[in-house]
Order: sequence, then C-alpha cells, then structure tokens
Amino acid sequence: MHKKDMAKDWQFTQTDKTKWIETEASRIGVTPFDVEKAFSSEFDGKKDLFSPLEIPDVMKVTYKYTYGGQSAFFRALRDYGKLLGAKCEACDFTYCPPRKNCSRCYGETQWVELPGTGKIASYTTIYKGTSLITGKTPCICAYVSLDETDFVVLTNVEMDDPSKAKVGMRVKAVFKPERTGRVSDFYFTAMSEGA
Amino acid sequence: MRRVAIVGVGTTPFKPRFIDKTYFELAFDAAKDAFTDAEIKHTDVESTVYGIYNDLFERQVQPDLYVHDYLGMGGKPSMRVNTGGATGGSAIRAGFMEVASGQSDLTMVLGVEKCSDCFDYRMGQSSPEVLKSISYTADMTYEQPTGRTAAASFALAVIAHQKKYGNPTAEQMAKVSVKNHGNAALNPIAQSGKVLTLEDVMNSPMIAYPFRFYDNCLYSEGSSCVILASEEKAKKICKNPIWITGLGASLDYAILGNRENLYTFEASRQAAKRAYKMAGITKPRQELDLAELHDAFTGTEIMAYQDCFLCEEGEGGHLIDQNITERNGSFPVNTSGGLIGCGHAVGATGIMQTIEIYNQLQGRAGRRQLDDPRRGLVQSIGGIACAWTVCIVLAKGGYNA
Repeated sequence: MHKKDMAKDWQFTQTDKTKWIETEASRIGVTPFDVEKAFSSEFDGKKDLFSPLEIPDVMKVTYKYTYGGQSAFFRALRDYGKLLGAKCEACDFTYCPPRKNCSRCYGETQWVELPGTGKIASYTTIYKGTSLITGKTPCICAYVSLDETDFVVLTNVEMDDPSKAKVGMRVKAVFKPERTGRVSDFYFTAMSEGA
Repeated sequence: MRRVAIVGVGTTPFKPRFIDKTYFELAFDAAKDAFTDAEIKHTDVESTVYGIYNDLFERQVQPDLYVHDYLGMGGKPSMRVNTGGATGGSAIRAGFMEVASGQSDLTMVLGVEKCSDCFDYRMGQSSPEVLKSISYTADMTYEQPTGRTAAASFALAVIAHQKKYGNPTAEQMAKVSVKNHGNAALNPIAQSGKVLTLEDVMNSPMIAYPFRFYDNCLYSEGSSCVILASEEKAKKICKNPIWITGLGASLDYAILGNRENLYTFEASRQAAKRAYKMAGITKPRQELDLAELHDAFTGTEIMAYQDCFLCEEGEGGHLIDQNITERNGSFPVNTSGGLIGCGHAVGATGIMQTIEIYNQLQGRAGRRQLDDPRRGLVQSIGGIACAWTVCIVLAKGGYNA
C-alpha cells in the first residue's frame, strides 16, 4: 500500500484541543497559553499520519538532600548570617566552599569563621542565562579569593553598573535578610576604595 | 599494548534539530554510514562504546541501552561514556582501550546527542532549557545556584587569561569565529553556512562577557561513529587505515579553588603531553600538520593553542593574528568549522573532530582538503572550565610513518 493511502479509510478522532492543552499544561507545570503557543502547528489541520509528533513532557525529581559533613556551613549561613571556612591545620590550608576532609592530606578539617571579605579573581557578566535565572540577567558571576582562605568561591557580585567589575576589586559578603540554607543566601558587593 | 586503527567512519549532518529523528534513530544513521564506509556488517562488530552526554537532553536516563538495542547489538560487550563536552574523545579512548587490550578486534565507537527537545515554554524556545539541563553539571550545592552557564565557566578563564597575558583580544576572538564559520561553509555536514565578517562577530549580542553570540559554539543534534580495529584485523579489512598513535587524558579539579591558577587549562596540558609522549612527538608544531581543537568558545580555541603546546605560553593570540591557524596557514586548526561552525552535538563532537582529521589524512575532505597532511591532533574537552581533556594523535601510512 502506498504510504499516503494508508490512513485513507480509517476513522479520524480529533483530539479535543482545549481539554488537551489544559491537561498537558497542568501535567508539566506551565501555563495553558504557553502550551497552545508551542503546539499551534499541531492543530493547523496540515498534519498527516507521517508528520513528526511532539508531546509535552517533563522529568522531575524531588529531594530531601542532606548536606552531611557540610551542614555547619549552611546552619551558620541560614541561622546566623555567618560565613565559615574549613581549615586543615596540618596543611595550613583553608577551604571555602568547605570540606570536612582535606583532599591534600586526607586529615579532618576544623571550622573557622571567615570575615567575608575578598577580591575578585575573575568574573564574567551573564547576559543570556538558563531558564532558572530568566529576568535576573545581566548578572555578574565571579570567582572571589576569600580573605583568610586559600581558595576561591564562585559567587554573584551585585553592582549597579556591571561594566565596572574588575579583576582585583575588593568585595564583601552581604547576607540576605531571609535565608533558606543555600549559597544564594549571600552575594558580594564592591567595598569602598582602599578598604 | 596492541596497535589500533580507524578503519571506517560515518556521521549524520549536525543540525539545530532533527524533528523527524530520535537519538537512537540518529545513532542508526551514523552507524549505518560507518559500516558502509568500513565495508563491514553490524554483526561483525565485537563490542560497542557509546558517547552520550546529558540524560536530560535525551529525556532518558541510560540512553545507551536503547541505542544498543536499536542497532541490533544485543549480547555484545558495551559501555556508555560520559565526560561532558569531552564525551566523544573519551569514547574513542575507551574504544581504543578495548582493542589495545585485546578484549576486541573490531569496536564501534558511536557518539550521539539530541538537545533541542528541551523546551522552555515561557520563552517559547529551546536554548534556556538546554542551558538549564547543562547547568546541573555545575556543583549543585555551591555553584549551580549562581546561575553560571557553560559559557560563563569558560569566560571566567578567558578573563583571567586576558588579565595575565593581555590576550585574547575581542578582535582575535572574532577572527577565530570568522575562520571557523568560513571552514564550516565548505563542510557538507556543518550546521552553519554563514560567512561572517569581523564586524558581524564583534557587533553580535553579548552572551557572557567577553563572549558575544558568534564567539559561542552551536547547539547541535547529530551522531558520529568510528570503527576501531586491531592491527591484524585492520590489515585484513582495510587498505589504508588511520592509526591512533597517541592518546592522553586528564581530569583536572572541578572546584577551581583547588587549581594552581584560573588562566590555563592544566587538563589540556597534561592530556597533550601524554598523547605526544605516546606518539613520540617532541615538537608538536613541526611534527603535526593540523588540529581539531575544542572551540566551544573562540577564546578557548586561542587558549588551546598554548595548552596543546602549539605556541609559547600566553602567545595564542598571535597565532590567529598571523593567520597561522587559517585553512591556508602553516598550521590549520578546525578545518571542519569546529564546534563554532560545524556544531556541538555533545556526545558526537569529539568523534566528528576525529572524523575530520581522518578525512583530511585520507584525502577525503572535499573543498577543505589540505595538501597531503600526515599527522593530526584532536583535542576534546568538557566540564567546568575544561575539567576533562582527551587528546588524540592520528597518523596515516605505517604506524610509525
């Protein structure tokens, strides 16, 4: 049988567009308007049996994630607005982001309070972001060399004019008033000249 | 260790989207093409290696299960390799080890990637959702919440490199984009057909400073495949095998506080050193004739010049200024168009790069063909600011030619 004749005598059941849009939007967690827009051509009457068929779908997993040996860092951050580092006495090396075990000597680290100041080691300004930060661009993403550590931390630097960011610029941590126990609880801003 | 040759290659074109093909159907096309080229049947293959990067792109955890099935490979030894952008290079390395160790005489190494099925409904486009899928590669606890994109991860290194060495400049980066798009325009499998000017690149929208739109590689879908054979097998089934004479890999620290500096890619330096040592190369600029370097971004191609020891430290910008890496220069880089022009179908990319060198060495590179190259380098990188690198040296003639 010729390909185009295959469905010629079959009974066509039209999908209920409105119901389909509502069901699918709810299933994948987006608005019916956006589903309708994305699938406008599916309902234009020009599709046949052999047209590629797309479906809305989502992969989602929820967690109750443990910070394990790094928990104190996040409790200090969320509950006290403090920044902690992890110091290996044997190596005289301080990590932040912290780690319970020293990756150099395999010993245990000790918690130390950090001043939350540092300087920009490198930076970039993101103009086109992921769908997780839509509406928050442009934003500065920087490696900051933290004072009293031997490490750099990847963080956001907030500045009125992103083009003023410079390697070597002194910055300090600012803790958000409402914190959730995530690194997004703090960001950095420029310190005044000479600070 | 047994010697290993490439005895056949196959690939799909690289495109923004194949709406009419799933990932396993793309894999089928590349595999069939490679079997035709190698003049073998799929039943001749003794083992398979699949390079597939992101399960979220494929909408399938462990997609290699369904590729292996679709290709009719049931029962054969198989493994899936995933090292981010370096997946293709790593897959070839894994296939090499299968053959070199004597586990197999004929191994199929196939890379495949979809990505544009990811779709951001609010923005009405794929890119932000593709970027989101990639962003889960960043450390979820400390780094992913900053919104850092793949481009930002490499931009941070390029800014540090600029600060240290004064290059790459915006113009040098734009020259790389013009070069690679120009090469892609001559490559029938390439995604970009655009011929660009420096102004086009330097006036394109900023994506992640200092990278503008045309400084970035293209998201692509596609599949590429190489057939690897032991020396004995290769001599039986192939008139002119291309030999893998050097192979080196490295995975650097992904948390950059653990690295010595932010301005070089130590993984690339170590992988290149290991590959050159195995291939007996001491002066790569003289002893190699061309390279496919992982130009995920223009600035990283320029950094790769020094990290693969094709120039002195910090002098990458001069190579492009002096037109050395142009197709008609003394050391052509990315005649395929690279990731910027040919495209970046992640799991397939390192294999696509390898196929370009293979085709150049075989004299099969069409309008891009160089004058009798004998030895070439592939650099395949991936992960946060080049965490992974695999370097591969390919040679024609006898193994030690």
